[in-house]
Amino acid sequence: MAASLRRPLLLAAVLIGSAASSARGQGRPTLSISAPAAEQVMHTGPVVVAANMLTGRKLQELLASGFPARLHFTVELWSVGGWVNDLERRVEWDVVVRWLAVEKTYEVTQLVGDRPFSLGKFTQLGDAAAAVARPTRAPIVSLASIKRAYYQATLSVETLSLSDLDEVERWLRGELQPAVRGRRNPGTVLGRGLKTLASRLLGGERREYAARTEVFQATEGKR
Amino acid sequence: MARMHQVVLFACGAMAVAAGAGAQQRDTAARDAAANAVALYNADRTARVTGQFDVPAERTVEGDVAVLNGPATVAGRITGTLTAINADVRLTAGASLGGLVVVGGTITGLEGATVRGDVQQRAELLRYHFDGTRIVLDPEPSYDEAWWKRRARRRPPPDDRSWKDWTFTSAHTYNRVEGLPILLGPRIRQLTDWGRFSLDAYGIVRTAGPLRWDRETLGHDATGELQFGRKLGIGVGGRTFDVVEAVESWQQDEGEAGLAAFVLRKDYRDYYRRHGGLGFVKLHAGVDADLTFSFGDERWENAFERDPVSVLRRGDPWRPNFAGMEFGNMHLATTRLRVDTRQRQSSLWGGWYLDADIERGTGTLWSYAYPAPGDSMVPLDAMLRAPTPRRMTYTRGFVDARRYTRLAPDVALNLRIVAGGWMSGDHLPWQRRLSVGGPFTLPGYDFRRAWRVNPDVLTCDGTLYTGAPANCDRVMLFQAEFRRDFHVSWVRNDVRDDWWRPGFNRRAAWVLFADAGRGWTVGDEGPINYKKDEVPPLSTFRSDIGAGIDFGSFGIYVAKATSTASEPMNVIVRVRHRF
Repeated sequence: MAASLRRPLLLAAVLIGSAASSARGQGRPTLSISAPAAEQVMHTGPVVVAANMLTGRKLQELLASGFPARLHFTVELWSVGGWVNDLERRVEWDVVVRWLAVEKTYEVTQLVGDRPFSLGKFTQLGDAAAAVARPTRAPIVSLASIKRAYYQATLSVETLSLSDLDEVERWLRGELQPAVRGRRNPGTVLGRGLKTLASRLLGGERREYAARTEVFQATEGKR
Repeated sequence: MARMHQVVLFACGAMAVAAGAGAQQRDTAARDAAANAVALYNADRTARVTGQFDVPAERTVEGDVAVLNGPATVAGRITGTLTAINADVRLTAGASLGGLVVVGGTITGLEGATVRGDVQQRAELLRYHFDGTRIVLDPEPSYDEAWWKRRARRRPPPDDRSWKDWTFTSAHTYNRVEGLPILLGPRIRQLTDWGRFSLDAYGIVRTAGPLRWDRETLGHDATGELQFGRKLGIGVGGRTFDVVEAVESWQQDEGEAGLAAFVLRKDYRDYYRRHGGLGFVKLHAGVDADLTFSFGDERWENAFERDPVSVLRRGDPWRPNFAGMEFGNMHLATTRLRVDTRQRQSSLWGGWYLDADIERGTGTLWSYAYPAPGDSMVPLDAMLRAPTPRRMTYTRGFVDARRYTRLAPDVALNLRIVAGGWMSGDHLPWQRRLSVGGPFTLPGYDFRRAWRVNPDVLTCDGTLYTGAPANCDRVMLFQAEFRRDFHVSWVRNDVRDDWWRPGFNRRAAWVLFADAGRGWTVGDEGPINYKKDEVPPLSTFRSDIGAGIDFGSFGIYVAKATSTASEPMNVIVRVRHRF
């Protein structure tokens, strides 16, 4: 009995140990947000840094398989209340990373408002990750009417675009036809479907991160 | 001898948000660095590079160089200034530069390199746009609500395009009457200058055995609509159908109901058949709200449970679908209001969900002499021989209102009130009666098992009938939940996320909840009867409290009835949010 238990326990220990030790070896994804100095909070917004967001073997494999990664940033200004905090303002933007197989480069694009802004094309994934991690100032300043406030940043990382997600949802529900709607090559339907199914079976293609600043108190300052 | 270089670090953002009196000066200097970088890039004498830029050890580049996006790697010599915009700069030992300006990037290897002029660095991303071959610095964006509302507008609504296809799909549910209904037919969305036309026309094949090529197995459901106006407007349409309909669809969505039936052999709904048609006029305000008036003429029929397969408990019988429902022809006039602002971009603090309808039904319904509680059993042949008609007119209302409120970034308080039932006219037909209790309304109480609840204010003595149908004329339900998000990372994490690794790595939420509700019948006073203008006192409501973890795609909860001490604690698994 003891011998029969030993092997699975050993295997479990190896798996857990492997996961823990491997994790220590790489930079972990980190989202951080920094509020401006107290005298500047009514003139400028916080700075957001999303470091090491393209780490993780599964995400990298999905990227290399043609699934674009979409990083959706949300920054909110919350005022501190007695029982309930109030959401005062919010801004959002996206960063999209995709592998261009023909050029063999990773393209990083920031989508702000109506306008795409290229952060570059890179042959190395690490360089693409560095472009994603460039400190970005969110245009969300505090208000004179707020006594105490803090910023909250959230980031969701998806390895499928919204349109793909819609199609995936339909495909998984058994609606085969939408996959061949329009002028798409039906020959790729099976491949797309298998990739989609694989990504779903692997699970965890959506990650979420959150960070917040300390509570700050705005003081009058010059711009 | 290498000249000691002067380093001026205009670090900004995460690298330079240090409180103090110098912050303002640093911001000014950072803006100067950005302007300097743009000026250097646009200078006629500057060589411009977009993308990766390498200077090998043996190479010398004459003059100024500007690099966009990068990265820039320098092992050799640049006689002028290297300007890197939104690019990282890597210097190896022995690299020599006339000057270095980095905006929106990092510098590595500076200590082993020689920079004869100034080094300026600003870590924060530089925003610019091209004007021909030159770049123009964008002003720092000021807060503007339209900034993110534009983004919301940029997203096209899902149906903002014309298309047509031939659909072969499941109905996204599974039940003991139909098994897995398969839908087959065309779908058309045609956008026009004045609005759009949509058509969904499905044939329905029901897979529950035994398969017979009759109306038990085959049905149809076709809806067409002409919509005038895109965002605000009016729609006119019609629907013809021969479908199996759930009696109380408000308690549980079809996906969750189907999963419970298919996996656990637990079908929490009762069903009847609807065969007929209706016309409607719909006033719509975007995707968030619409008001629909419909008038239909349809035939109601009994539906009987069949024997579809299930994953577990295959040997157990299905809960009988109540066979005593009335059948006959009905004319229905319905007004329905739907408001859903939960997904609206401008709903900063949460959102509202409202689904309200008023139905007036007129017609003649027949019923067999189904044994009432306490009656001796009526012989089956007598039941089948002697259906009796009942002319009826009734009005029924129903409201499901919910408020989702964020109290803090990761904390939410969600409230729900459901109220509905008989408003006027004759006694409601079985198809329109209501109940509470069970995993979706009062999880501290078992579903349709009310023997510990005396009087039975959950089903209004519906449990005395075979199949335990809902039997209340009116119900009222309050639900509240407090949620707090957290991240669970056990063994797995974002770095090591292979499929074979055990553990969890995802967002989840603690949920604390409380519910209270009851049903009653309208009539003379009694344990479960109240007059038509009366509402039972809150002290008669059944209540529960509970807690759980919601992982998004599924949740595990524990609930305990607080108003019935003998009711044991229940463990509930949901594959949706509670509400």
